[in-house]
Amino acid sequence: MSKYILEAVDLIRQYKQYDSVVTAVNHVSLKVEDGEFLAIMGTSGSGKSTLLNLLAGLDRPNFGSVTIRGTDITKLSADKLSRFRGEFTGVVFQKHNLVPQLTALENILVPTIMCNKPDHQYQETLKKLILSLKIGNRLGHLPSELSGGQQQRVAIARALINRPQVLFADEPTGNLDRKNADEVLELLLETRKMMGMTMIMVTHDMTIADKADKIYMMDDGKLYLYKDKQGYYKNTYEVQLQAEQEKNAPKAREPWQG
Amino acid sequence: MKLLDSVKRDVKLTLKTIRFEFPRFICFFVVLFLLQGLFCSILTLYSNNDRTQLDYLESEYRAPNGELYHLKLLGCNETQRAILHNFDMDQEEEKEIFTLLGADITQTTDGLHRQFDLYVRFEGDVEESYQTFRARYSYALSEQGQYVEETTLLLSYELEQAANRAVLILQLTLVVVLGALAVWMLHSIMTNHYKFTYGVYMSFGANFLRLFRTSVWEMIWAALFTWLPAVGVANLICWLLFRNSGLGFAISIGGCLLTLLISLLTVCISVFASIRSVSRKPPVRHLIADDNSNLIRSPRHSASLVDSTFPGSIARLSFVRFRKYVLRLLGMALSFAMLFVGLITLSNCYQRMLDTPRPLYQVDFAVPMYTSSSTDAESDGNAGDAGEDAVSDTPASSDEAAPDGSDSTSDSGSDSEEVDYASYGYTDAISEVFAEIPHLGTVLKESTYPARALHSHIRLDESAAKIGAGGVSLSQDGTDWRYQMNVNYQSLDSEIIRSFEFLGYGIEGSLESVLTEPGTVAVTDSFMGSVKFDWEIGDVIYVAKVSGSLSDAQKVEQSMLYVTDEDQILLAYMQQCSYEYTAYTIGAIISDMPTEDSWSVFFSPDEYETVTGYEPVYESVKIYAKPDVTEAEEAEIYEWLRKAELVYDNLSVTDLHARLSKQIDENKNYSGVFTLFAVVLLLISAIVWLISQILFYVKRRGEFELYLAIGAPLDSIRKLFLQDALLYACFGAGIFALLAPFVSWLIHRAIGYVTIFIGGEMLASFRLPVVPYLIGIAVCALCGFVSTMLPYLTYKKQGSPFHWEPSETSDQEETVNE
Repeated sequence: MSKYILEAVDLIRQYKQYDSVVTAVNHVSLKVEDGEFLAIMGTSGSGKSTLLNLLAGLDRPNFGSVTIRGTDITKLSADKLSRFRGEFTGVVFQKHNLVPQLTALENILVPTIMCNKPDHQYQETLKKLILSLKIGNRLGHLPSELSGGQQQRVAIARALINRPQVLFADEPTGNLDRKNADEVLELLLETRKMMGMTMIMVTHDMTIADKADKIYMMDDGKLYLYKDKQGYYKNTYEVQLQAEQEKNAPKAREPWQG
Repeated sequence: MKLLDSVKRDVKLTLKTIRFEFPRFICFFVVLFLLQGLFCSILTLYSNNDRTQLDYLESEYRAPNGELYHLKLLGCNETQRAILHNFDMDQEEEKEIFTLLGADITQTTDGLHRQFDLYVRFEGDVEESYQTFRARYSYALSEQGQYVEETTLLLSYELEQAANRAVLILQLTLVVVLGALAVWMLHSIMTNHYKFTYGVYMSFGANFLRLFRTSVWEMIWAALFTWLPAVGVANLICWLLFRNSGLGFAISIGGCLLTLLISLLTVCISVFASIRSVSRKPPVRHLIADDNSNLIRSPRHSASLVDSTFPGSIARLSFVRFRKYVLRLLGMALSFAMLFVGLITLSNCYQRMLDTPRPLYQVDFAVPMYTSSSTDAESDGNAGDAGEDAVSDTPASSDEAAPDGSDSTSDSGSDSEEVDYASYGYTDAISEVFAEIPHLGTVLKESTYPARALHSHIRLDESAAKIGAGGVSLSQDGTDWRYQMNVNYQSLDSEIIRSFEFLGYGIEGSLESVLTEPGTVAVTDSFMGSVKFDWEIGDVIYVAKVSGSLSDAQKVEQSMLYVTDEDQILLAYMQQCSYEYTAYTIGAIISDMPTEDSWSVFFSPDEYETVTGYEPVYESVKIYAKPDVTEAEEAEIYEWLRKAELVYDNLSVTDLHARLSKQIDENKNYSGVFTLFAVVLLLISAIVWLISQILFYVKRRGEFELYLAIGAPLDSIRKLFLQDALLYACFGAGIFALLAPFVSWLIHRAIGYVTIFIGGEMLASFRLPVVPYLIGIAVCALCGFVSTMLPYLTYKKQGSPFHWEPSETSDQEETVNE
């Protein structure tokens, strides 16, 4: 059995915008080991959220494959992929994406309802999550009655309630102030550790990324390794990036070319 | 247990959604209320009609012993009674086809003998048993003397029931399909506007089945909440309908329960279709609608926001920018409005059919078979003279009045060389006798010869034939001709003209001209219930007659025995036979005449003989009473005809049960049901306009905020709404005005074909109802305008216009377009 819980090979995702085609993810390959915490960084519009959506099975690539626990999710039908997401993955969105008409508790339980999980299968996890995320006193409130930090904690609990094997987080603290962001991140990391799951996080924040086992940089749809257990590859990344930019830059015109 | 748990969770989740977001479910409550009301009305009317129809028949057809009978044998003598009794006794129990129920005993007019009216009930398949009875026993009975067979409507009751059931199923299917379409459209609009929630559910494992269960429960709740009010209102309407007609009314519990079942089926079908498309898209497509709120994706359009042409160009652009949405909205809303006109057309057709006078009785005359030598035959018996003698209040004795019927009958078929057909059937002399029938409206006679039977056809100008007229088109000597064989040649005389006037057929030109001007004919303009010809008075048609040997035509006839395509047969005739064409000028055009798959050309009797080779012979006539005759007066007519039947042994009378069948048709109230149906569809159309537009503009509020933020004046937003509203109104009304007549015609044709397929009556010809058509145009224009201005007025009412909070759910152009 492969030691990688997630393998992405040669992913391409393009969008049509009017007359032109934008390549948001350009030939990206990635391997993630079981229990690893991986951070993806990059500037706005570099394609990191799109990549995360592809890895989480929330979107389909134009080309390439994503294999999670030996299952190529790009080959699954829409129905099977939904079921797979419910069983194996959890997602924390930047904007929380809580269902407005449901209370905090009901929002947390959405994945269990969607996967038809019986009560006894998640009661224990629910208690742990409520305790560790400190949301016990807000369970009966609607999202609109919660603060941003509380909403994000509810969103984290929702992502973890089914005990996913891989957790995808898209700038989970992007909408929070520093204090709240630190608090939520701590809780997320602790909970991840407690549950022993793999996490792939998209972030702008280097202090958050620094806590990851590996950091990848995304630029113009391409993915570069920036840090791993051996240390930083800042120079290597910059060299790779420069080489790539030179390759793509238009060649200087000779004088006779006008 | 797990299932119960899961259902409990679904119920809780969906109830909560409905409670929290009740406004978005209002349209479903309204639509399901209307649909369930319609389902329940149809079922309740059917159940009550079924009951009242049976009640009628059972009260009408009871033998002296109180049992129901299918056949009455009138005027039997002692021997006939004994024979029938013996036949009844001799039947094996398991193969019993009839039971003799009893007899009414009367004295003959001379007071010397007893006369019996025998009551017979058929067993098993009553239709089949009746045929067996006729085959086995009628001859034996008739050998013992004259008697009259009178069948009852109970005999065809089961067939009638089957037809009623077929119509019910057809109506329900139509309502289910249209209902499912309406709920699907509204549900699609809703899922498109609220797809964020579905995106979240899908991100956390919801597959199609899971989403379907969630959504269908929402709709089931809507159906359950509206069920009781809907069946209540439906039963109230039905009760009022029945109370007005003075009939007893009973609430149909089965109908009410079936209403719920059908509405659940309807919501399942519609939610299935709508959720299927949602579940096939990746969740990110649903989530992104929220993530990019308040953004206008089109930089090209955004760039021109503050230029001098604002808001005119923007408004026009928005109609183009959201073209997919506009097309979808117009498609949905207008299709329901068009169905409104289509169904009102049907309703009018049924009402016209109901208002058309119905023949009470049919009188058939025994006429010998036609033979080739018959045309030159001389008269050897004069029924006319005898008939003239018989003119009196009631027919005189057979010795005086009978047109030597026994001889005539024995002549038929065997002695062909000297048969004068003009002396048979409904002659002028008989006509004079029949004129004495009390309360008589008219006697409709018909002498018809199909063109195909004569190897003949009609040639007409191509421009006179409309779409669907069929036939063969050929160009000759620079003229485009249409050749048609699906035509009947009919004879016309002054009595028939009077009948047509009595029946209220639409007549353009003068029917008398056919009789007074040689070479003039009258034509019908439709068949299969729709107008197929665009005739004008003075147009010329050409009647084809085989000019050469008939053997060529007979060969074609033989070779085409198994060919059903009339045009192919006609082409074969035209290729292999030579024809001479005689021109006839159209002097009158008859519309509204019920026709099946052929149209008719009416000739004067002389021309008829020239064209067909035979004098007109009227083998059967239909008796119509004056309008508003009472039941007792109808009975008088029947009594008169029965006496005539005993006097003239070459005629037989059949009761067509017109009063009863009209009463039954009135109770079916198809016209009312279709009108109700049409009104419901128009309301649904209005709901589609309102809901769709309100949600659409709520989604766009962020866009307007942005316009204001970057310098557009407030008034320009109002103008933008106004311009959009006018565009919607114009497009809505315009497209409706153009397409509604065609859609109505299409519905009329489709229902016409289906009705014939299930053995029903031919629909009355297509006529676009002008007032509902204008109402449709007005409603489309009004809905287009109001549904666009309403969101603006609502926002304005909320205080300072366009001070909306940044939207959590507002959408971008492409998302709205999906």
